[in-house]
Amino acid sequence: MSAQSTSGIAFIAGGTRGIGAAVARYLVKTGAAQTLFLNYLENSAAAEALKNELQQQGATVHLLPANLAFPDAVRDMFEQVAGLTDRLDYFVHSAALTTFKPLHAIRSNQWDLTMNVSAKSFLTCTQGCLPLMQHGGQVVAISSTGALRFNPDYGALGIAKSALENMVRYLAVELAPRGIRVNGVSPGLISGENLPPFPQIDLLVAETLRHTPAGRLGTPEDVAEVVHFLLTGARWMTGQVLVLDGGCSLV
Amino acid sequence: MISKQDIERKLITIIAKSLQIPEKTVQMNSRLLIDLEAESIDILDIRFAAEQEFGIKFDTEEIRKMLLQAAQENQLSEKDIPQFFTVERFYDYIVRKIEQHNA
Repeated sequence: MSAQSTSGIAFIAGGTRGIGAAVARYLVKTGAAQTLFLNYLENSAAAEALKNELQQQGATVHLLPANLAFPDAVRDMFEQVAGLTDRLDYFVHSAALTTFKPLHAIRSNQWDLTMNVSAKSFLTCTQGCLPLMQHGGQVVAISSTGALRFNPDYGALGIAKSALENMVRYLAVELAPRGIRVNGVSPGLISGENLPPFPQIDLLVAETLRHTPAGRLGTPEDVAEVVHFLLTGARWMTGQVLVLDGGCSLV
Repeated sequence: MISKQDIERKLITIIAKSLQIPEKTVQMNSRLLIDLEAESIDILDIRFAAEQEFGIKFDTEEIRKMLLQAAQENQLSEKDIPQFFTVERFYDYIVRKIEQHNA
Protein backbone atom coordinates (compact mmCIF):
# COMPACT_ATOMS: atom_id res chain seq x y z
CA MET A 1 0.00 0.00 0.00
CA SER A 2 1.31 3.44 -0.85
CA ALA A 3 1.01 6.47 1.37
CA GLN A 4 1.90 9.00 -1.35
CA SER A 5 0.04 12.30 -1.20
CA THR A 6 0.31 15.84 -2.44
CA SER A 7 -0.41 17.23 1.04
CA GLY A 8 1.94 16.84 3.96
CA ILE A 9 2.84 13.49 5.45
CA ALA A 10 3.23 13.51 9.21
CA PHE A 11 4.73 11.16 11.75
CA ILE A 12 3.65 11.78 15.35
CA ALA A 13 5.33 9.94 18.22
CA GLY A 14 2.74 9.58 20.95
CA GLY A 15 0.13 10.59 18.42
CA THR A 16 -3.11 9.02 19.61
CA ARG A 17 -3.77 10.79 22.92
CA GLY A 18 -3.52 14.24 24.48
CA ILE A 19 -1.47 16.85 22.63
CA GLY A 20 -0.30 14.36 19.99
CA ALA A 21 -3.89 13.50 19.08
CA ALA A 22 -4.84 17.19 19.07
CA VAL A 23 -1.98 17.89 16.62
CA ALA A 24 -3.16 15.04 14.39
CA ARG A 25 -6.71 16.42 14.39
CA TYR A 26 -5.48 19.98 13.67
CA LEU A 27 -3.28 18.89 10.77
CA VAL A 28 -6.17 17.01 9.19
CA LYS A 29 -8.69 19.80 9.86
CA THR A 30 -6.47 22.41 8.21
CA GLY A 31 -5.46 20.12 5.35
CA ALA A 32 -1.79 20.44 6.31
CA ALA A 33 -1.49 16.67 6.37
CA GLN A 34 -3.74 14.05 4.89
CA THR A 35 -1.48 11.08 5.57
CA LEU A 36 -0.51 10.45 9.17
CA PHE A 37 1.64 7.87 10.89
CA LEU A 38 0.59 7.78 14.52
CA ASN A 39 2.77 5.98 17.04
CA TYR A 40 1.39 4.86 20.40
CA LEU A 41 2.42 2.59 23.25
CA GLU A 42 -0.86 1.04 24.30
CA ASN A 43 -4.59 1.66 24.40
CA SER A 44 -5.35 0.29 20.95
CA ALA A 45 -9.04 1.16 21.37
CA ALA A 46 -8.27 4.89 21.64
CA ALA A 47 -5.87 4.65 18.70
CA GLU A 48 -8.43 2.88 16.51
CA ALA A 49 -11.10 5.42 17.49
CA LEU A 50 -8.85 8.34 16.46
CA LYS A 51 -7.95 6.56 13.23
CA ASN A 52 -11.64 6.11 12.36
CA GLU A 53 -12.37 9.74 13.27
CA LEU A 54 -9.61 11.08 11.00
CA GLN A 55 -10.36 8.69 8.17
CA GLN A 56 -13.96 9.88 8.16
CA GLN A 57 -12.49 13.30 7.35
CA GLY A 58 -10.63 11.87 4.38
CA ALA A 59 -7.22 11.28 5.96
CA THR A 60 -5.14 8.14 5.59
CA VAL A 61 -3.95 6.98 8.99
CA HIS A 62 -1.38 4.31 9.78
CA LEU A 63 -1.17 3.24 13.42
CA LEU A 64 2.26 2.27 14.71
CA PRO A 65 2.20 0.55 18.10
CA ALA A 66 5.78 0.61 19.33
CA ASN A 67 7.65 1.01 22.59
CA LEU A 68 9.92 4.00 21.98
CA ALA A 69 12.04 3.09 25.02
CA PHE A 70 13.81 0.55 22.83
CA PRO A 71 15.88 1.72 19.83
CA ASP A 72 15.27 -1.67 18.16
CA ALA A 73 11.53 -1.05 18.30
CA VAL A 74 12.02 2.43 16.83
CA ARG A 75 14.13 0.95 14.03
CA ASP A 76 11.47 -1.67 13.26
CA MET A 77 8.78 1.02 13.29
CA PHE A 78 10.61 3.17 10.74
CA GLU A 79 11.18 0.13 8.52
CA GLN A 80 7.41 -0.19 8.52
CA VAL A 81 7.01 3.52 7.69
CA ALA A 82 9.57 3.30 4.88
CA GLY A 83 7.54 0.45 3.40
CA LEU A 84 4.55 2.78 3.13
CA THR A 85 6.05 6.11 2.09
CA ASP A 86 9.23 7.47 0.56
CA ARG A 87 8.88 10.82 2.28
CA LEU A 88 7.92 12.45 5.56
CA ASP A 89 7.32 16.20 5.83
CA TYR A 90 6.52 16.59 9.51
CA PHE A 91 7.74 14.92 12.67
CA VAL A 92 6.13 15.80 16.00
CA HIS A 93 7.45 14.23 19.19
CA SER A 94 4.74 14.06 21.85
CA ALA A 95 5.73 10.86 23.65
CA ALA A 96 6.39 10.99 27.37
CA LEU A 97 6.38 8.56 30.25
CA THR A 98 7.29 9.16 33.88
CA THR A 99 6.29 8.85 37.50
CA PHE A 100 5.42 11.92 39.51
CA LYS A 101 7.40 12.05 42.76
CA PRO A 102 10.27 14.02 44.26
CA LEU A 103 13.45 13.76 42.19
CA HIS A 104 15.46 12.53 45.17
CA ALA A 105 13.10 9.54 45.48
CA ILE A 106 13.29 8.45 41.81
CA ARG A 107 14.67 4.92 41.34
CA SER A 108 17.20 4.15 38.63
CA ASN A 109 14.74 2.15 36.50
CA GLN A 110 12.18 4.97 36.72
CA TRP A 111 14.80 7.50 35.64
CA ASP A 112 15.89 5.33 32.72
CA LEU A 113 12.36 4.75 31.45
CA THR A 114 11.51 8.45 31.75
CA MET A 115 14.65 9.46 29.86
CA ASN A 116 14.38 6.75 27.21
CA VAL A 117 10.77 7.43 26.28
CA SER A 118 10.56 11.18 26.89
CA ALA A 119 14.00 12.31 25.65
CA LYS A 120 16.11 9.66 23.92
CA SER A 121 13.26 8.65 21.61
CA PHE A 122 13.24 12.19 20.18
CA LEU A 123 16.75 11.48 18.93
CA THR A 124 16.09 7.93 17.71
CA CYS A 125 12.88 8.98 15.96
CA THR A 126 14.63 11.95 14.33
CA GLN A 127 17.29 9.53 13.10
CA GLY A 128 14.50 7.32 11.74
CA CYS A 129 12.89 10.27 9.94
CA LEU A 130 16.05 11.58 8.26
CA PRO A 131 16.18 9.10 5.33
CA LEU A 132 12.58 10.11 4.58
CA MET A 133 13.33 13.85 4.77
CA GLN A 134 15.80 14.04 1.88
CA HIS A 135 13.73 16.96 0.52
CA GLY A 136 13.76 18.80 3.87
CA GLY A 137 11.22 18.73 6.63
CA GLN A 138 9.90 20.19 9.86
CA VAL A 139 10.36 18.79 13.34
CA VAL A 140 8.60 19.90 16.52
CA ALA A 141 9.21 18.57 20.03
CA ILE A 142 6.60 18.94 22.76
CA SER A 143 8.42 20.09 25.90
CA SER A 144 6.94 21.64 29.03
CA THR A 145 7.57 24.66 31.23
CA GLY A 146 8.79 22.16 33.84
CA ALA A 147 11.98 21.96 31.77
CA LEU A 148 13.07 25.35 33.09
CA ARG A 149 11.19 25.84 36.36
CA PHE A 150 10.54 23.73 39.42
CA ASN A 151 7.22 21.92 39.56
CA PRO A 152 6.51 19.64 42.53
CA ASP A 153 7.00 15.92 41.78
CA TYR A 154 8.04 16.73 38.20
CA GLY A 155 11.82 16.40 38.46
CA ALA A 156 12.44 13.37 36.26
CA LEU A 157 10.20 14.52 33.42
CA GLY A 158 11.34 18.13 33.80
CA ILE A 159 14.95 17.06 33.28
CA ALA A 160 13.96 14.86 30.33
CA LYS A 161 12.22 17.86 28.80
CA SER A 162 15.36 19.96 29.37
CA ALA A 163 17.31 17.38 27.37
CA LEU A 164 14.63 17.52 24.70
CA GLU A 165 14.96 21.29 24.42
CA ASN A 166 18.73 21.09 24.12
CA MET A 167 18.35 18.46 21.41
CA VAL A 168 16.09 20.90 19.57
CA ARG A 169 18.93 23.44 19.52
CA TYR A 170 21.67 21.00 18.51
CA LEU A 171 19.60 19.26 15.85
CA ALA A 172 18.42 22.62 14.47
CA VAL A 173 21.99 23.65 13.73
CA GLU A 174 23.07 20.24 12.45
CA LEU A 175 20.05 19.74 10.20
CA ALA A 176 19.58 23.29 8.86
CA PRO A 177 21.85 22.61 5.84
CA ARG A 178 19.50 19.76 4.92
CA GLY A 179 16.50 22.08 4.90
CA ILE A 180 15.12 20.63 8.11
CA ARG A 181 13.87 23.02 10.79
CA VAL A 182 13.69 21.83 14.38
CA ASN A 183 11.65 23.70 16.97
CA GLY A 184 9.79 23.02 20.17
CA VAL A 185 6.84 24.17 22.20
CA SER A 186 6.80 24.41 25.96
CA PRO A 187 3.26 24.35 27.30
CA GLY A 188 2.35 25.08 30.89
CA LEU A 189 -0.41 23.08 32.56
CA ILE A 190 -2.74 21.67 29.93
CA SER A 191 -6.29 20.73 30.83
CA GLY A 192 -7.86 17.34 30.26
CA GLU A 193 -6.03 14.02 30.22
CA ASN A 194 -2.68 15.85 30.14
CA LEU A 195 -2.97 17.00 33.73
CA PRO A 196 -0.24 15.18 35.66
CA PRO A 197 -1.85 12.62 37.98
CA PHE A 198 -0.04 13.67 41.14
CA PRO A 199 -1.67 14.20 44.50
CA GLN A 200 -1.30 17.99 44.67
CA ILE A 201 -2.73 18.58 41.21
CA ASP A 202 -5.74 20.54 42.49
CA LEU A 203 -3.41 22.88 44.37
CA LEU A 204 -1.16 23.26 41.32
CA VAL A 205 -4.12 24.03 39.07
CA ALA A 206 -5.38 26.67 41.52
CA GLU A 207 -1.91 28.26 41.81
CA THR A 208 -1.45 28.21 38.03
CA LEU A 209 -4.80 29.85 37.45
CA ARG A 210 -3.99 32.50 40.06
CA HIS A 211 -0.76 33.37 38.19
CA THR A 212 -2.08 33.10 34.65
CA PRO A 213 -3.10 36.47 33.18
CA ALA A 214 -5.17 34.69 30.54
CA GLY A 215 -7.25 33.25 33.39
CA ARG A 216 -7.49 29.64 32.26
CA LEU A 217 -5.41 26.55 31.64
CA GLY A 218 -4.23 25.78 28.13
CA THR A 219 -5.90 23.15 26.00
CA PRO A 220 -4.37 20.55 23.67
CA GLU A 221 -5.86 22.57 20.80
CA ASP A 222 -3.99 25.70 21.95
CA VAL A 223 -0.76 23.73 21.58
CA ALA A 224 -1.77 22.10 18.30
CA GLU A 225 -2.39 25.49 16.74
CA VAL A 226 1.19 26.61 17.44
CA VAL A 227 2.65 23.26 16.36
CA HIS A 228 0.78 23.71 13.07
CA PHE A 229 2.32 27.18 12.69
CA LEU A 230 5.83 25.81 13.32
CA LEU A 231 5.29 23.00 10.82
CA THR A 232 3.69 24.95 8.01
CA GLY A 233 4.94 28.53 8.47
CA ALA A 234 7.74 30.05 10.54
CA ARG A 235 10.19 29.48 7.68
CA TRP A 236 12.98 31.51 9.29
CA MET A 237 12.61 29.99 12.72
CA THR A 238 14.69 27.08 13.89
CA GLY A 239 16.13 25.89 17.18
CA GLN A 240 13.52 27.80 19.18
CA VAL A 241 11.22 26.63 21.95
CA LEU A 242 8.02 28.66 22.30
CA VAL A 243 6.45 28.99 25.75
CA LEU A 244 2.67 28.48 25.69
CA ASP A 245 1.31 29.26 29.12
CA GLY A 246 -1.09 32.19 28.85
CA GLY A 247 1.57 34.44 30.38
CA CYS A 248 1.94 32.41 33.60
CA SER A 249 5.74 32.38 33.50
CA LEU A 250 5.83 36.19 33.22
CA VAL A 251 4.07 36.80 36.52
CA MET B 1 11.29 -24.27 24.48
CA ILE B 2 11.76 -22.37 27.73
CA SER B 3 10.73 -24.33 30.85
CA LYS B 4 8.24 -22.98 33.38
CA GLN B 5 11.02 -23.08 35.96
CA ASP B 6 13.14 -20.82 33.74
CA ILE B 7 10.24 -18.44 33.21
CA GLU B 8 9.74 -18.16 36.96
CA ARG B 9 13.44 -17.62 37.60
CA LYS B 10 13.79 -15.00 34.86
CA LEU B 11 10.62 -13.17 35.93
CA ILE B 12 11.87 -12.93 39.51
CA THR B 13 15.20 -11.59 38.25
CA ILE B 14 13.41 -8.98 36.14
CA ILE B 15 11.22 -7.84 39.05
CA ALA B 16 14.13 -7.69 41.50
CA LYS B 17 16.28 -5.75 39.04
CA SER B 18 13.54 -3.27 38.25
CA LEU B 19 12.63 -2.64 41.89
CA GLN B 20 16.26 -2.85 43.05
CA ILE B 21 15.50 -5.42 45.72
CA PRO B 22 17.14 -8.79 46.47
CA GLU B 23 15.68 -11.68 44.44
CA LYS B 24 14.95 -13.60 47.63
CA THR B 25 12.40 -10.98 48.63
CA VAL B 26 10.36 -11.68 45.48
CA GLN B 27 8.05 -14.60 46.25
CA MET B 28 5.39 -16.02 43.96
CA ASN B 29 2.69 -14.84 46.37
CA SER B 30 4.20 -11.34 46.69
CA ARG B 31 1.73 -8.64 45.69
CA LEU B 32 3.56 -6.33 43.30
CA LEU B 33 1.86 -3.07 44.24
CA ILE B 34 1.50 -3.75 47.96
CA ASP B 35 4.23 -6.07 49.26
CA LEU B 36 6.92 -5.05 46.77
CA GLU B 37 5.74 -1.40 46.60
CA ALA B 38 5.93 -1.28 42.81
CA GLU B 39 4.53 1.86 41.17
CA SER B 40 2.68 1.97 37.87
CA ILE B 41 5.86 2.99 36.01
CA ASP B 42 7.62 -0.04 37.56
CA ILE B 43 4.88 -2.35 36.28
CA LEU B 44 5.48 -0.91 32.81
CA ASP B 45 9.24 -1.35 33.24
CA ILE B 46 8.78 -4.99 34.33
CA ARG B 47 6.35 -5.57 31.49
CA PHE B 48 8.74 -4.12 28.89
CA ALA B 49 11.61 -6.24 30.20
CA ALA B 50 9.42 -9.37 30.21
CA GLU B 51 8.23 -8.66 26.66
CA GLN B 52 11.84 -8.44 25.53
CA GLU B 53 12.95 -11.49 27.53
CA PHE B 54 10.13 -13.80 26.47
CA GLY B 55 9.38 -12.42 22.99
CA ILE B 56 5.69 -11.78 23.68
CA LYS B 57 3.37 -8.76 23.74
CA PHE B 58 1.31 -7.94 26.80
CA ASP B 59 -2.24 -6.70 26.58
CA THR B 60 -3.02 -4.32 29.46
CA GLU B 61 -6.75 -4.91 29.13
CA GLU B 62 -6.30 -8.69 29.33
CA ILE B 63 -4.29 -8.30 32.53
CA ARG B 64 -6.86 -5.94 34.02
CA LYS B 65 -9.68 -8.38 33.23
CA MET B 66 -7.70 -11.29 34.70
CA LEU B 67 -7.15 -9.39 37.95
CA LEU B 68 -10.74 -8.10 38.05
CA GLN B 69 -12.00 -11.65 37.70
CA ALA B 70 -9.84 -12.71 40.64
CA ALA B 71 -11.22 -9.82 42.69
CA GLN B 72 -14.81 -10.59 41.76
CA GLU B 73 -14.36 -14.27 42.67
CA ASN B 74 -13.62 -12.95 46.15
CA GLN B 75 -16.66 -10.64 46.13
CA LEU B 76 -14.40 -7.62 45.66
CA SER B 77 -14.21 -4.94 42.96
CA GLU B 78 -11.82 -3.10 40.63
CA LYS B 79 -10.41 -0.95 43.42
CA ASP B 80 -9.20 -4.11 45.14
CA ILE B 81 -7.17 -5.28 42.13
CA PRO B 82 -3.80 -4.51 43.82
CA GLN B 83 -4.54 -7.24 46.36
CA PHE B 84 -4.67 -9.80 43.57
CA PHE B 85 -1.76 -8.59 41.45
CA THR B 86 0.72 -11.23 42.60
CA VAL B 87 3.93 -12.39 40.98
CA GLU B 88 2.21 -15.73 40.42
CA ARG B 89 -0.63 -14.19 38.41
CA PHE B 90 1.92 -12.24 36.34
CA TYR B 91 3.79 -15.52 35.80
CA ASP B 92 0.57 -17.36 34.83
CA TYR B 93 -0.20 -14.65 32.27
CA ILE B 94 3.30 -14.89 30.77
CA VAL B 95 3.09 -18.69 30.54
CA ARG B 96 -0.28 -18.41 28.79
CA LYS B 97 1.04 -15.80 26.31
CA ILE B 98 4.10 -17.92 25.55
CA GLU B 99 1.89 -20.96 24.96
CA GLN B 100 -0.35 -18.90 22.66
CA HIS B 101 2.71 -17.56 20.85
CA ASN B 102 4.07 -21.08 20.30
CA ALA B 103 0.72 -22.66 19.36
